[in-house]
Amino acid sequence: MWTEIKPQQQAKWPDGVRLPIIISVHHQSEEAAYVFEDGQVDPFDYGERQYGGRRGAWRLLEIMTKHDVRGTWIVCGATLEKYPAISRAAKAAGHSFAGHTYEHEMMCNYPAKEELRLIRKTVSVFEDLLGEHLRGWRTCFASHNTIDILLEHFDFEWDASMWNDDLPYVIEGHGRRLLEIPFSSYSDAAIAVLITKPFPPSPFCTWSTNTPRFIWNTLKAQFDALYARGATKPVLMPLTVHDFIVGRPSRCKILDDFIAYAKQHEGVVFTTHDEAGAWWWKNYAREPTTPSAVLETS
Amino acid sequence: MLNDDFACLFDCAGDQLIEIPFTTSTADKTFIGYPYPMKGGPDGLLDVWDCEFEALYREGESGARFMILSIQTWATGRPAPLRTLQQFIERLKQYNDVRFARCSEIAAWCDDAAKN
Ligand SMILES: [Zn+2]
Repeated sequence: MWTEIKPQQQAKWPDGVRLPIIISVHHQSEEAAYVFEDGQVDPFDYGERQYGGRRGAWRLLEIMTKHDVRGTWIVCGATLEKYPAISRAAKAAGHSFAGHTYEHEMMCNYPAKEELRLIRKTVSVFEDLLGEHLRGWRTCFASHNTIDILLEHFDFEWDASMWNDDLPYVIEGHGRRLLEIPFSSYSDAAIAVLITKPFPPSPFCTWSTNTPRFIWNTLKAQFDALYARGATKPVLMPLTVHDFIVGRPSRCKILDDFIAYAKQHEGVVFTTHDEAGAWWWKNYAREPTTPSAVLETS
Repeated sequence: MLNDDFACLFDCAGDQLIEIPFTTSTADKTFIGYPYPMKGGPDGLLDVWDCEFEALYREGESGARFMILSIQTWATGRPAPLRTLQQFIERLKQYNDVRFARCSEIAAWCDDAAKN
């Protein structure tokens, strides 16, 4: 059991930060490839996605390096095992990390015990291969148990799996507090691809795409609105990019242009969940204040 | 294959095959071909080709790159998108360091590069 702490209306970012932008690089490569009814993986979809680990993730890192910005790499355990070099390069360049389940399992389809096992497995892959003790988590499609599991069994400082708000908020339960840093599909540059029924994309068909101009318009509208609002209110722009989608040249060009555009604005800061989380925590006590919350057990 | 943007050499027990991958991200049918979603029409098609070209051309300063376009006779072959293709090619021809190549030429280049 857990509760949300009522948002602190005076909560704010540090002085000089008007609009933090958190780029989440979803590095999941072929983990969610379509599987046919006979259990064979769809080779077309597999290849389309495998591009992410082989090329796309590198291109994304290159562009972020070119602009001297950092973000959070949201990586599946199995992807880290298959392509450790890219995560090591991202770590060396100062990026943050979060786990993204082991083989991109959609957790809403798994019982709590299995979800716990898969999170543990992913956490240990990060420790073994990257020497990284994860502070953050982004599940693939949260289950009703996800938050309880994160609070009860792990020491994650933040979760970034929810789509239900614009700003971070504090969750309390199992004797501790966790920061939820929500995101949104509207500033997901993966809006480049149209998700058609059935999902995952149908066999023999690959992703249908929107034009680069469409992605540009979507990101710019999101940015302009948030930047204007940021003059008087705290705002946050989550920006999600998938290695196999936005890692393609035509779409990466839009990310490249977008970062350049955003950087021209004073008070725009490209940051990570770790850093933005630490900023937001300054508005709240890290420890539970109510004794009942401390006593709560599962 | 769709999993890369550069050619690679498969070595299968003495026999060799050069894989030249392609991409669906610039595929004409998505933008202009019925019954696909036809996002953007001929302008959308030109937009994605331009962006793809600019990104790869820039990357070509520091390493070998190629751009592959797959176009369908029944899609780009129609008058409006055909005009888009014509304009795109004319623009590319203004660059003296852009070459139009056949897959066999890319394969020969890859074969050479693998030997050296
Ligand atoms: Zn994912």
